[in-house]
Amino acid sequence: MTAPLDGTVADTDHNDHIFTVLVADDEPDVRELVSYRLSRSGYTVIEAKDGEEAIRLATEHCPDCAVIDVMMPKIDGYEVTRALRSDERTRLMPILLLTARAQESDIQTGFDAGADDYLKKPFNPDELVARVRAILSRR
Amino acid sequence: MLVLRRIWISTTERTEGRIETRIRPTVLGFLDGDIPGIRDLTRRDRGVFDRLLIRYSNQISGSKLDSVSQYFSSTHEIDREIATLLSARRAWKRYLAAQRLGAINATVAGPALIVALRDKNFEVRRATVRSLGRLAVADATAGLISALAEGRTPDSLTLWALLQMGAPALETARAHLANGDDRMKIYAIRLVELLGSPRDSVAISTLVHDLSPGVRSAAALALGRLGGASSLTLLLELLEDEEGSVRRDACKALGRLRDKTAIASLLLHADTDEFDVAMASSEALFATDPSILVDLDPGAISSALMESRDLAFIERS
Amino acid sequence: MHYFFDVTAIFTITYFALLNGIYVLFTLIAWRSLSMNLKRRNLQGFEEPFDTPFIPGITVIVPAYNEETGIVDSVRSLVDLRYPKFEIVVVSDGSTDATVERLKDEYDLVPAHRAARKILKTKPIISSFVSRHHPNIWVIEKENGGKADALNVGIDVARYPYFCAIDADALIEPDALLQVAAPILSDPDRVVASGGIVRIVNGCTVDHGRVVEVDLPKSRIAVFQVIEYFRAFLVGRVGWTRFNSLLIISGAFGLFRRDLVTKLGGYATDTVGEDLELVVRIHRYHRERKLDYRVVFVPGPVCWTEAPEDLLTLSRQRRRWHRGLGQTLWKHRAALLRPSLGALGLFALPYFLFFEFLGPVVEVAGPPITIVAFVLGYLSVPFLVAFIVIAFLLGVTLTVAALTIEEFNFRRHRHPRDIVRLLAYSITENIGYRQLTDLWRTMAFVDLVKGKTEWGAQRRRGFQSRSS
Repeated sequence: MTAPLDGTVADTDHNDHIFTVLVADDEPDVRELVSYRLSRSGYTVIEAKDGEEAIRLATEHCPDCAVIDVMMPKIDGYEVTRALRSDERTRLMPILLLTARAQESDIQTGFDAGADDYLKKPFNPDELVARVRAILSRR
Repeated sequence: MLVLRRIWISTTERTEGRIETRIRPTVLGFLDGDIPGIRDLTRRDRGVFDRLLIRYSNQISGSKLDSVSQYFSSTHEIDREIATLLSARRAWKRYLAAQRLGAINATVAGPALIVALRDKNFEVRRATVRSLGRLAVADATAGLISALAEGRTPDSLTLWALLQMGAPALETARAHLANGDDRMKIYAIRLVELLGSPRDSVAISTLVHDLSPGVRSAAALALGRLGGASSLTLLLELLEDEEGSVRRDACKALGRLRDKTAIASLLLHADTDEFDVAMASSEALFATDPSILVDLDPGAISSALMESRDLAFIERS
Repeated sequence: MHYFFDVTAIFTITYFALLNGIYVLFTLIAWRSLSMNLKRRNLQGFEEPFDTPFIPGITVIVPAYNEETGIVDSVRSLVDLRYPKFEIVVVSDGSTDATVERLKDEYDLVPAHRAARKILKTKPIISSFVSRHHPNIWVIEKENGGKADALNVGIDVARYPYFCAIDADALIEPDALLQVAAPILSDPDRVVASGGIVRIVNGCTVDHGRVVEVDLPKSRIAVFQVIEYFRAFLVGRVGWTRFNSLLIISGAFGLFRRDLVTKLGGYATDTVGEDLELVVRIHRYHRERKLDYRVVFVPGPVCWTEAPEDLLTLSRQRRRWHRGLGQTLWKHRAALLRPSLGALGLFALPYFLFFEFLGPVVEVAGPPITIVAFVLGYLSVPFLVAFIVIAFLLGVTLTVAALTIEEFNFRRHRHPRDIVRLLAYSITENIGYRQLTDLWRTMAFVDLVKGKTEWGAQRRRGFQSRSS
């Protein structure tokens, strides 16, 4: 199946389902950037500004996928991932971690916590969309 | 006076906040390729637009930044900043210019930034290094290396910038492995460690017998990360080095390799009185095979081993 | 008789001129230095320099004695610290309350042996625990021995090359560790210690261990302290750093090179002001050997602490601080006025001796002598009035200047009315509050001179800043 053109065609599966993505980052600029880009690509976006909110929104709304910043106050991205993985409702949710630190150990921690993919900051918005698309299609 | 200033600041902030909210979609649209949208911005809006654009640019990478630099190029902002960087009298202005050029992705400013590596103000040089790293200006490799050698810029930051360059930095680093200066050799080893591949372990292995313990240490750590055919043997050899710090780093490296044949030697070294070496080998054992630790007799082992042993138990449960 | 008052007058004027001269100098230095600093901070980008594996790790040591109420919040703020490589070691100094229990519950602690170097002589460790979820959080229980002893245990078990001593009742901002480490990362061979700023949390809104809103305290006493802290920290410490004679890296928040401190024998357990004493020792060590080194104050990173809101606790705190100062000065009296020790021996130590330590005595003795002189007719009234007015104005100006610097540079306070309140208080701070602290410090001075035997009793009681 050919990849749809960037930003022009809504992502849908056979049942015409619009995917929801949860975006969690304490930096408002990043949230805006990511939300904008994802909504332009046809996704519905829910925003969370810290780990606590992220967990709450994820369990309440059960989005199809989550993009989570690692370094957030109160509860960091790794913890959020672990929390989501241990909750029945969100156990299988694809998670993409955004991280400014991409040391091996950090990446390893991310995968150990249960993340599906990671993207380094500063990130390429196009690549972000591509990765989200990829992990959603793997479902 | 204070109070007035404060009030003024908060009002300006509020107005600007409002403008920002209005302009934000335009900025985002711009980043997304919607370039014509910016035509109808007033001058005041422009200011906010520029600032927002710089802020967002800081967060992203990739092809989108090309349009950012094109934009700032078209408004001649880049030229202005370059001129400031090279010739402004006040260090503060030069510092700002160096910072901004990196933020707005002005790759054309590469040459100017390289020149600025010799600026007489430390902060300016530091900002320059950061921007060079962000822009990943390959030509800057030589300049950065010489800045390292002369100690003109903080080494952690300069190393980071070199890492951003990728392949060109690796080339230069390989060449400097044979450098006469120990410090430079160590920097070169670190760069190869992070940028190189297992093939490079051959070049590193010659440094394992260097006269300087610092170099031997760095070589050990590099071998641990790079891997390679003979790394294990060399590291086991380094476990018997005369310098404690080298033995310690050899243990660390073995912890990365996680090769079980090293276990026997690591156990030996985990029982020494030298705390750092004992800790490093205990941690290496934990990384390689925690089950070994569980079988040890707690009464007969070093403090360091006891810690790793307890951690192994916890891991298990 | 006349001579006595003449001499006193000259002495007082000289003292006054010198002291305020120094204050003015420092204020100017602070102004210049902080302006650059501010602008730089506004442009803070990423932590790219810290994205390499070569960054040195930091062991955060939290000495705690009966801190059950605040310890979880405090550790929480530490866990949130944004630094790539660090561990937290809480050292409970024989706490008799639920400090360790609270931590056990919050962090799912399990027993685990913690390797110790056993280089520093300390009271024995009773037990140690590690957190199952956060393997970087350790809690060590030891026999009671005082704060310095607890810190030394932390140093003895520290895994990383640097350690950061943080008070158990302090709240640290997430970026604070990175910021306080910045000078060390830029210049690892020379910078051996750095300290951040301590601010008063009374009145601020705290959520999950983080200060979310900065407000002025309601308590008058606390507001006075807020002002005092601004003056002492911003102005004083920036100034001293300039001369590489920063003597006070606050015990509440200081970063040190571990091997150096270990070599020096760790914190001294025989003084009350162990933080000050250590820093003086660090300075002496390097200056005596003519080694190139720096001890730096970083104005950005903030550590929030609770200020006493009642006079009794405040008085105890000030007396303790003053005792510590006296003990340290006495211990290092050989360094006083030694040219070989540069700015430390010739400037910093004498300053602390004459102005900080003996100063309060002078200021307390002033009014009575003045009254006597007046009564005996030796005083010219215009002169006296002029003196008082100038002293007052100068005091207020300096305080306001300090406030301005803070305001310009950090703009932490949300409401303009807070500034007005601060301004109002800075005027009254010079009448009353300052004299009060001087009185307490004089009492401490008298205590010291009288009974050196008190030191022993100090050690046993623990070092709780609120209770002792």
